[in-house]
Formats: sequence, structure tokens, C-alpha cells
Amino acid sequence: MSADNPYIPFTAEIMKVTDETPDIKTFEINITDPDWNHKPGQFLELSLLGAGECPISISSAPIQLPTLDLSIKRAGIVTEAVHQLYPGEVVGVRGPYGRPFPMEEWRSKNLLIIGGGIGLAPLRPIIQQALCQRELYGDLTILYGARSPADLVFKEELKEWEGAPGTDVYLTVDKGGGEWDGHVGFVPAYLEELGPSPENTVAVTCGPPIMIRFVLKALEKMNFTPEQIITTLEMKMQCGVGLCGRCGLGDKYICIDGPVFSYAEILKLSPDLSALK
Amino acid sequence: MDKSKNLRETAKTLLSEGAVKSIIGYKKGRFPFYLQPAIIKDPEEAASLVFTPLSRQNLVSFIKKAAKPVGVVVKGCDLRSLVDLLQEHQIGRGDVRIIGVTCAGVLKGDALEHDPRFKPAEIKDVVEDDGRIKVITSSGEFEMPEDSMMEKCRSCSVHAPYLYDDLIGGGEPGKAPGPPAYPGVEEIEKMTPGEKRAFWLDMFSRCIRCNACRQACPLCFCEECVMDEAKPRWVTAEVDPVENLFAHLIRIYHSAGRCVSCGECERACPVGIPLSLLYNKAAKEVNELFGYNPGVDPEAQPAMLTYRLEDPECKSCLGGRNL
Amino acid sequence: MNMKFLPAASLKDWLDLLRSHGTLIAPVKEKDGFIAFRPDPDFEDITLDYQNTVRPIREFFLPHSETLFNFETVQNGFDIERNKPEEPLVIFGVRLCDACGLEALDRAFSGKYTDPYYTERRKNALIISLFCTEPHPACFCEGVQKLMTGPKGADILLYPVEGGFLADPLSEKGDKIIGESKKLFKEPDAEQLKAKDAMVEKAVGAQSCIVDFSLLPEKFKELPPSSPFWREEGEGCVSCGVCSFLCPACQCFSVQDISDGKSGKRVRCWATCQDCRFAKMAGGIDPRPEKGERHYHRLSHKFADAPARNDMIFCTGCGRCIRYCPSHHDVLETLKKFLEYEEVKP
Repeated sequence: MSADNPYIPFTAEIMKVTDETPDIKTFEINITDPDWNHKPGQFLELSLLGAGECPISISSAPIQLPTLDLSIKRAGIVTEAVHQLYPGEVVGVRGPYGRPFPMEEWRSKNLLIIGGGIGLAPLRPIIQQALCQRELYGDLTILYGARSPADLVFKEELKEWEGAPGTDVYLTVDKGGGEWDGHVGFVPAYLEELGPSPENTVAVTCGPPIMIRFVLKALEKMNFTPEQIITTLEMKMQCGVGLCGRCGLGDKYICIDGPVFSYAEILKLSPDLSALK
Repeated sequence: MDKSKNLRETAKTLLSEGAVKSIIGYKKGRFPFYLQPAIIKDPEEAASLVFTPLSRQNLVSFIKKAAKPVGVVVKGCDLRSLVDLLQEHQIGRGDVRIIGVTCAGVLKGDALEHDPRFKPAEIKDVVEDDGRIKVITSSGEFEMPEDSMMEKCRSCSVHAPYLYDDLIGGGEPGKAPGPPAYPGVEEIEKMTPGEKRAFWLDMFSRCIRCNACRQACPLCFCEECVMDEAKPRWVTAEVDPVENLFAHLIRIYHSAGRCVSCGECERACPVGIPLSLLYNKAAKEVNELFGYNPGVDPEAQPAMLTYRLEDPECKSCLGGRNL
Repeated sequence: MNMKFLPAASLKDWLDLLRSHGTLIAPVKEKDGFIAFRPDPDFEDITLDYQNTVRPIREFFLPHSETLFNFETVQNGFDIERNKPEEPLVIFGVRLCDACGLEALDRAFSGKYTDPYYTERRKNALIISLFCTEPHPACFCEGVQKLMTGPKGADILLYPVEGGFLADPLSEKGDKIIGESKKLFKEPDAEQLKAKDAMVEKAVGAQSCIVDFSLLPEKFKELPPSSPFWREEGEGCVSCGVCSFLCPACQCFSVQDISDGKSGKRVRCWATCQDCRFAKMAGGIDPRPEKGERHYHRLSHKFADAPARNDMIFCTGCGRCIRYCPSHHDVLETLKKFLEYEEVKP
């Protein structure tokens, strides 16, 4: 990254493209900058010169460097253009940005990971890191849902996680069908059904805003304190460096003061939870 | 007749009898030289309504989002844009209560600020007195000259609305008007192409692309504007005289035959670009080519939405017509 | 730093000297009466007869449209070229509100990361303010920022007095500039200083401010954007960008690429939070679909969040958002009603 100019991207080559769902692909890109060092929860700015730039959360743990994964849902102009790319082509990146998940504070605690749709992407580095340093954390519970079986991301890895020590994986889909014989229903409802204990546990959630809202409610009902609930508000950001003014949330900017916030912090910044709209 | 009093009584009755759910009118704010739109729902709020020579804004712009049925205070000129919305099925006739007001003309936006006889801080009130505009200040009363009125008022043929449910201000109901006068257009037409280019590039060099012209326009109701479209991107967001002019050329073509010359775009423009000249030019062309007079007959088909075999060929414009 | 007197007759000579420090920018009255800051004007075209320009000087530091870099796609990558550094700016005749706007932008653009484009221009610029003897009734710079009595953001402040100007150096840079042209400046006499004090007092008295800004941060927490107050408050808005684009202290921008497929530029342009597309995200989620929610956002940003984050209200009381709003929406009236509003709890 250009030291004096935070807007200048550098090139990164696409090494591998994986189709996750009909509208989500994971791009493994090669970072040549030896100083690059990201942490779970951080994001980068992805450039396709000509199409534009957008913030994308990094969906792989730092251990994977010098490559990292970007799981991207086709939603706007830039993401649409990225979806046309193949291995060997280059993209522009700058970063990493944002406040990461406070994983040091979670040592010896149980981790409850609750994801919905593409929302599992920023949570995946936590899972990868925790599995990699298994002895540092307590039980790992993963609850993940998507609209349909075809919309579940990281399908192969989900299977691997199921078999990992001290790890439980619960999957659900809004609408079943085909060969799906698993749980059918919304994530928050399934969460209440499972009723995990708040004791010595941190709940981390990311997904569509409406899902996050109901997950928060469900967790509160199960006596999780707002401090025990962590989410990442991957929204409204543009420049990534706290200058363009778009992602204001109270006196914080999501891009530099977040995107990771505890529910306690969000309640303070946005009392009517309009941050989660 | 005290129009404001008349208006308040009518508005109060309409709201309390449930004839309308909301009324869009004008109210006074902190400054005696500005009026603000008032969108009221409670009969008690009717007391805040006024109609004065500062009732410049075309309130039809607020009609789409208002609770229906909605009463809207319109001058004869504003009525034209309402009629256009009826023609284009943007609002049903049953959903709008037309509160027409006879109007002797309204002041230009900067008329009071630039008057050498008094300072804005001295202004106490602006009133209409028997067809004349009077400014009451701490240093006396001043009659405003005719050229302090908006251009459209000086050639106005719709002082009294020709279509209404309630008529405020009494007098004879208006007759369906002829086409607007397109003030100032002839002078521009007389310019050479080079002069025109220089004039408009100079004017558009002031533009900051705030979109007030579009946002204030009662006929700009598209859910997604071509100027915001990102794919394909027809117009960039850049400030650039050519890009700015291009953006307006799109609007001109889009509003030709619909634009009723209400002047709201020019009124809203903070940097004083004489947009009416551009839009009036298109309106004039449509009128001359197709004999169409927009915003008069709610049953009529707007010129650009109809095709007749006898429509003139565009040869007439290409062949030497000074566009 | 001492105040000096600049005789009116020496103004031209001084401005000519200042031209050697960079591009001189000064207010010019155009044919139709429109007044704007223009680069490199002839002395005869500079006007001092203006309350304020419609467009604040912000645009010289954060231009409406700015190329962040040019790019060209090449084999296996792209080349990026940054624009060359520009001439320093000397801006003459800046009102206190606009100079104070720069102070706000200074803070906005140098947080955890620094905006190099703004910062470079700002660092190299010289701001010469002109005291406002006749504020517009919509002005409230004294009420919100105490600018009449404690100017911010300028290097030199000129007070127009009989026969010339009292020049008050507000920064070291300003002091140095005055020192460089010692011959043109004289020591002020007691009468001039007295006239200046009287002028300030009169200008302060001409302004009215009906809001206690210190109460706002708490109130914004109490009445969130979903409150009916904001719904009603936003109804008369046409959702244009006048209030933000004419604001001396607005910072927001959006970025887009303009390209022919092979080469192009990345441009940033002013963006307004009053535009319904401002907060909309790819995929269509819109956190602020209502006009009132967008008003809340704008006002809470300026009067609650900026003080917490940047230790300064991001409003300089210039009154432009009131004067040029197509609906003459009055920010002070809104804030006053807001402070008085009490939600009816069911």
C-alpha cells in the first residue's frame, strides 16, 4: 500500500475460484506484500479498475497467507464484475482494515458462531483459527443457515468442521427440498430450539440485518448479556479508511471503529437499533 | 379578500369533515421573507397556513408521498403540473382535492435580498395589497416593482385557476389558458450557435450537481432516474460543464411536451442557472410542432405519448429551424 | 502577534505580492450579479461588496469532483498514476464561517488515516478572511461557533475600518506573511481598534441563535430516527443536495470509476446524505428510506457525533442550508423544536 495515500490499491493475482452457491464465489488471491497481516474480522477494499471498489470481508484465517480468501456475493457492479474473473487475472486490493474480533479475549471460552447466508464469510476465519489453536478455546458450536440447501457456503468445510474435536455444527435452511434431510427453519428459531447456555460463552453472529436482529433477541431471551454478543456490521462502508463519511454509526465509523462491535456497543450507538436495518 | 384567512377556513373544514387526510400548503417560518411547505393532517394546524407573494414553491412536488386523499394549494401555474400528473396517471382525480388560489404574482427568490431600499433583517412582512406586492419593513412600507416578480408571473395568463374543487381568493374562475409565454427564449434563439455554447457552458460551470432542479420538479417522478443509473452509466456524477449540460439535455428531452414552465427547477437552483430558458425552449418547440399545450386538459394525451399520421415530420426542425 | 493597518490604497499591491505565494482566489461579481470565488482575478474584478458567496470555499480543498488517480490496464495488472501536486492557494475574502468549515474538514480528514489530497492543499494554502459586518438574518456563526469573537481556520483576518483594513494575524503563517510586506502595513491607531471592537459588537448583536447546542447530543440519543418527530420533520424536504453541497463543513463523498474499458480514472464526487441512494447498499438494503431519518442522520452527525469524534460541531452557522433550501427548511427551527419535543408514550 502506498504509505502516504490510502486510496491507492496494489495488484493481487487470483489463484483459485470456487463456486459456493449460484451467486457466491470464493476467490483465493495472492498477496505479495510481505508486511500484510490481517486478523479475523478485518476486511479489505477490492478494486476492479473501471468497475469501482467495494469493501469485502476476508474469509480466511491469517494462517493461510500469503493467500487469502474473499467470498463474494454478486450484488452490485463491482461484485458482478469480479464474478467474471478467472484464476490468473488480477484485482486491486488495499487494506487490511477495521477492528478485528477480539479473539485474545475469548481464550478458554466456548464459542457460539451464528451465521446466515454470506454472513458466514467473516466468521470463517474465527472458526479456522480456533480449530488451528484448538486448545486455546472451549467448545465450538456453529449454527449456520441459508435460504436453501444450494445457498449454503463452504459446503465441504462444513463437513470437515462437523468432524473436528469439540465442535458441533447445526445447519438449517429456510426452505428445504431436493435431497435435504436436515433442519428446516429460520436461524433465530433454530437457535432458540437448541438453547445454548450462555455460561462462559461468546456468541458471534453475522448475516442479513433482519436475521441479526432476531438472533440478538433470541440470545437476550437465553440470558446472554449484551457484552457476550458480538457481531460485525459489514454495511454502508465505502472508502474503508474513515474519510468518506458514509458508514457513520453514532460517533463511530463502521470501517475504522468496527466493523466488529459488541451488542452492548451497538445499543449505545444506535438505541433504536436502526444500525441493524 | 384575505386569502390566508379564506384558505385556513377551507382547510380546517376539509380536514375536520374528513374530505382529505392531509393538506399541502404554505406556512411562515422564522423569517418573514421565506415561506415553507406545510403538510398538515390536523384541523388545528390549518391555522398555520398562509398564501402570500412568497408562495413561490410548486407544492405539487409533494403530492405523491402525501396521505391521500390530499388537498393541495395550487396557483394557476402549479395547477398545470397537477393536470399533467393526472394525465400521466400518477395520481387519481379522486385522491386530490384541488385548492386553487387566485394569485397576482410571486416574488423572485432574491428580489428582497437585493432591494437597495431595505435590508433583509428589516423585513417584517410581505403582503399582497389589491394586486400589488408590498413589503412592510421597520423603516416603512415599500411597493415591489413588477420586475421583482418571477418571470412567469409577468406574462401570466392563469391568475385564477381553471380547474379546482375550492377557490381561494374569490374572483372569477379562470379560463383554460393558452400556452405559457416562454419568456426570454427568443433572446437565446437570436444568439449564434457559438454564443449559445459559450452562454450555457458559462452557466453550467456554476452547477454543483445538487439535483435540486430534478428533486423540486413536480414531473420528475421516476423511481430510478437515468442520471443515477450505474449500469450503464449514462451520466457521471462529475461536475464538468459538458457533463452538466448533458444531464440537462436528457431532462429536457424527457420533459418536452410535459414541462409546464412552472419554473420550479430554476427557483430551486442555488447557483442561479436560468434553467427555465432551456425547458421553455423545448416546450415552445413542442407547442409549435404539435400545437400541444401541456397541463390544461386532464383528458388530453400529452404530445409525446400520442402519434397521429398528420404529425409534422422532423424535417421541419432539421431544415433550418434554429434549435 | 500584532494587528496592523493596511490602507485601502495598498490592497492592490498587497494582493499582487500574495500572488507570488500561489494562485490568488477572490470573490468576483458576474454579469448577472452572481458572486463566486474565482482563481486569478484582475484586481478590478474583485468585489468586497458581498454578504457571502453561494458556494463556500470548501470546493478549493475538496473539489466537487476530484481524480484520485488515473489508471491503465496493462498485461497482468494495472498502472496507476497520481495527479501532480498543485500550485498553493491564496484565498482572499473568506468569511469566518467558511474558514471555520476548513477547521472542521481538517479534523474530518485527519483521523486514523489522512486524506492526502485535502491535506496537501490545506497545508499549502493561505486563508485571508474578511470580517462580516452585516450578517444575514439566517446567520448564526456566533451562536454555534463563537466565530465573531473567536475566529478559526484563517491565517489573517481583515476588519474593514475607515480607510482600510485592520489585519489580525491568526496563525504564525499569517504573521509571517504580514511581516514580509511590512512596508505596506502601518501600526493601527486607537480609533481604528475602537472601531473594530464596535464592529464586532454590532455584528454579534445582529445575530440570533435560538438553540442551546450543548443539549443536542443527549437529545439525539433520546429521540432516535424512528421517532415520529423526524417523520414529520422530513415531510417538506425535496431530498436534493443543496444543504450538504453548500455546507462549508460537509465532508461526504462517493467514488466512481470512469473508464473506456482500458484506461480511466477513479473520481470522487461530493455526496449528500439527503439522497435516498446515499446509504443504500449493494443488494438493495436501505437503512434510511425516510426523509426524516436522513435529516436525523445529517443533524446528529453535525451536532452530536462530530463533537464526540472530532471535538467540534460540524456546522459553522453560515445559514446557506436555510437560505438556499428549495423549501427554506430552517435547521435552527428544527433543532429548537427537537429540543422541546417530548414523545407521547402510549
